[in-house]
Amino acid sequence: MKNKRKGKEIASDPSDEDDDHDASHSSDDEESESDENSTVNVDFEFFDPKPEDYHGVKLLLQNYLDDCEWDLAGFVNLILGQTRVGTIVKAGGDDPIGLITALNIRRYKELPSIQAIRDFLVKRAKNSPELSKLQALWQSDKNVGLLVSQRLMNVPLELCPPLHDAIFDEIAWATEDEPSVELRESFKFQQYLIQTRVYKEKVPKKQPVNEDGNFIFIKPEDELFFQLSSWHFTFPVQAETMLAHQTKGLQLLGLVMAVSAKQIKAFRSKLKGLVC
Amino acid sequence: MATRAQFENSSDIGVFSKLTNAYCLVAIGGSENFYSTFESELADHIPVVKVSISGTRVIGRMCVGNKNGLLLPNSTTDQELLHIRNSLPDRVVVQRVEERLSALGNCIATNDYVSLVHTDLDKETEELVADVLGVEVFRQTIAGNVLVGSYGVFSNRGGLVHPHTSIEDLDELSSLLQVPLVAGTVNRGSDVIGAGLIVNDWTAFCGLDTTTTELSVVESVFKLRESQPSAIVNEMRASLIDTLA
Repeated sequence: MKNKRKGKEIASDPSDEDDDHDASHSSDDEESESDENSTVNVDFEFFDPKPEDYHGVKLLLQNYLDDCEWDLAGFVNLILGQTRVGTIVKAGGDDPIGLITALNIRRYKELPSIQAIRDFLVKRAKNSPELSKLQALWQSDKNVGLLVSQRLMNVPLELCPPLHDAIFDEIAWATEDEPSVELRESFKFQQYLIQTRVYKEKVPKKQPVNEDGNFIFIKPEDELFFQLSSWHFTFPVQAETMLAHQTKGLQLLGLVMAVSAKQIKAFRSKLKGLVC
Repeated sequence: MATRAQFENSSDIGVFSKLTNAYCLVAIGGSENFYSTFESELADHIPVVKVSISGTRVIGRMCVGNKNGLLLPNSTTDQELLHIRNSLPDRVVVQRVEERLSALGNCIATNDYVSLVHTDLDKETEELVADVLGVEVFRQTIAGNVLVGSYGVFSNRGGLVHPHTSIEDLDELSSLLQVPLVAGTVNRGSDVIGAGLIVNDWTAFCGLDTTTTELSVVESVFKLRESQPSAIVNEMRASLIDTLA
């Protein structure tokens, strides 16, 4: 069955005329500078991952495993190799400003990069009651998708619904379009594992530590994922961020959540509600 | 032999290290992996020294040296200078330079006989380069770019320069330097050769992103395939007339 691509077809550049990729969804976006009354038109374009995006994607995933030394190059190559499921966002230039993809943990479990991610997360979960659930997830023979979503800080909110539509639609299409039965099955994810960053107010030592709630989410969809998650845990993060002066009194934490695939429909409708 | 390495997940190893025929400088703070990559190849022949320059780790771009000497920027602290002097062999002259263009590694590219320098480098610095490094100095650009140390790397046996260097420029530079030159990239298409590659006469290190093709170009232009360290470290470069005879 042919890949069904709905959504606006933008006028593609001559250089983009290529059988290998298609500029599928795109959203016109207006950002207004309220002081100067000027509007900046930005076209965000979605592309399939291509080898040329290597350096940009590597930059976006620089801090994925905090300050750990691991096979980041292999991880980037893995993402770029999975062209059917995965979207790279560009804002009119050549450089990726955002990325979203879903990787089947079991399919790639032999790769050093996936093993490094597993070791990193298990180590960070050592003090958490969810450790056993995390380990069970990595060892299970169910289909678990590692949802990797990373973008620049100031990418507007309006991009989130199309971006998530893109990835979940691609996953659905892959279950029909992949060449082999094994590959088709591998995209029938039952759970998604998400690793992201959140802020939390630094509590003075005397007060009891409140684990849940009071997170300040950097990416709006993370809040929805958190509400729909089956379980989660947090861990402290070493790498410095650029916004140090703006985030005084806030502590950067890593947040790992597991979201059941059954919740995705609810997630998508909630996300649309958040933006409109 | 050319080896791939990375410094704390960065492929820009030329920023965090400096390699010559007589010594190797490495930045502090990388994991022991980085340090041991160099030690395993080099420690039997030349000292591998952990240094910092004015408290930074970007030592590869701040200093320039060859087997005769090492030049440091004026921001190097006294303790750092003392540490470097103590750690390097006595015949290597270590000198601090008062130069406005303080990123010496970006402005100067050198081997044991010839140097290329930034066109705006001070006259005094140029003379110091000629004295301390024992080289003939030429003010040149590479592919129209004045940062010769960033866009060109060369050893006594060959050189790699910015991919957009024209054939005429390649010929001119090659005749100045008296080594074969090739225009190419490192680290999967990066044109900043100085950041991605460090080389001496018998070994080279490239960033982890360097493709196999790039690595084989490096090995061939720097003639690394059959080199033996002891032969190179001790011998004098044969003059051209000897090879014709």
